[in-house]
Amino acid sequence: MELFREDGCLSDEGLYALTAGQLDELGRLEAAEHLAYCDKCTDRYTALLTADALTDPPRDVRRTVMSTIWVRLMQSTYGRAAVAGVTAVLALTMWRTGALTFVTDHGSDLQALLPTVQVTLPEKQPPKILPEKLGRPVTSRPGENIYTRVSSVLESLLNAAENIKS
Amino acid sequence: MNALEFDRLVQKYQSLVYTICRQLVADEGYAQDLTQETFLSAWRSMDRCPAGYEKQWLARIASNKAKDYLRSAWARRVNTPGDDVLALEGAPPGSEPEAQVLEALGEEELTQRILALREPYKTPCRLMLLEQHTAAEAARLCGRPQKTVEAQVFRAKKMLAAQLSAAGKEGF
Repeated sequence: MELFREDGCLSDEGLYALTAGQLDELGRLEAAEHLAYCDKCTDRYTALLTADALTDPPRDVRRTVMSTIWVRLMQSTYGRAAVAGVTAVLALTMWRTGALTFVTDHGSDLQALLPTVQVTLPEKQPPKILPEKLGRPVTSRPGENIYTRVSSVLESLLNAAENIKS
Repeated sequence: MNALEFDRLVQKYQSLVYTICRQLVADEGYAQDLTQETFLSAWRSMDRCPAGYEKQWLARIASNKAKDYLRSAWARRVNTPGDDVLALEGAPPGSEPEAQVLEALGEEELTQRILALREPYKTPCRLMLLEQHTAAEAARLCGRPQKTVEAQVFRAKKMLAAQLSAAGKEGF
């Protein structure tokens, strides 16, 4: 029995042998390779698979496939929407219950509880001679660096929150 | 196509897809797995399915899944150490034994053996081994995917080497 015709397509006997389960492993591989790209032979093959020639899978495929698809859908579209919704609800709850006010009220107390972090700055480099810049130079007070400036800004914000509350 | 429509599609064609997988891989468990994989792949690329051709499209995906499974199963079996095909003595390190055998053949004998191959091996081997086309050119000329052509030529070389090896053994 020749599985293939001279034109390279599956022969009729080959297709019947496939449906009857008479092909060996190499024959099935060759047939699968061909059916994977040949439209004509796929049409001929599926035409042979009429209702009485079909076999039901031992376990229902539909349930497994659809549950996997639902999980993936949840993970992508609905998952993101759900995360956004939960975040919004959490933010609203914090706002309505006064948790945010508590944070602003006790912000200075919390600051005392936080561990102090020592930052080692790199050694001072000799000042470079830079070209003259346009505009007003930024004035900084002696002994002031970025950390003290940020903390003073935060402190003034906390004070403003306290004033508003009182 | 939304999930509910796809659910109906799975219900309608699950027997067809399972039958194709079962006939191609001849194993109930693997056929079940490949059926599920077929539908999951179909879901991922549903927008590429031509309207009205769902049956053929699913059959194509199922054949592809079965082909991938059978190729890896065949490769595992053929490349197992101790196989007769690979047990060709005197092969220098780094060279394929079947390539060495084919190189040792005279041009006329090689031509005869290639032309005596059956389809689907004869055409790609003639194009690549005799007419010296590249795999891409051979794939275009015989209307097959390049990977398929490469796999077929690879298997054909193994077959030729096995034939020659068997003939050599008979002569002893």
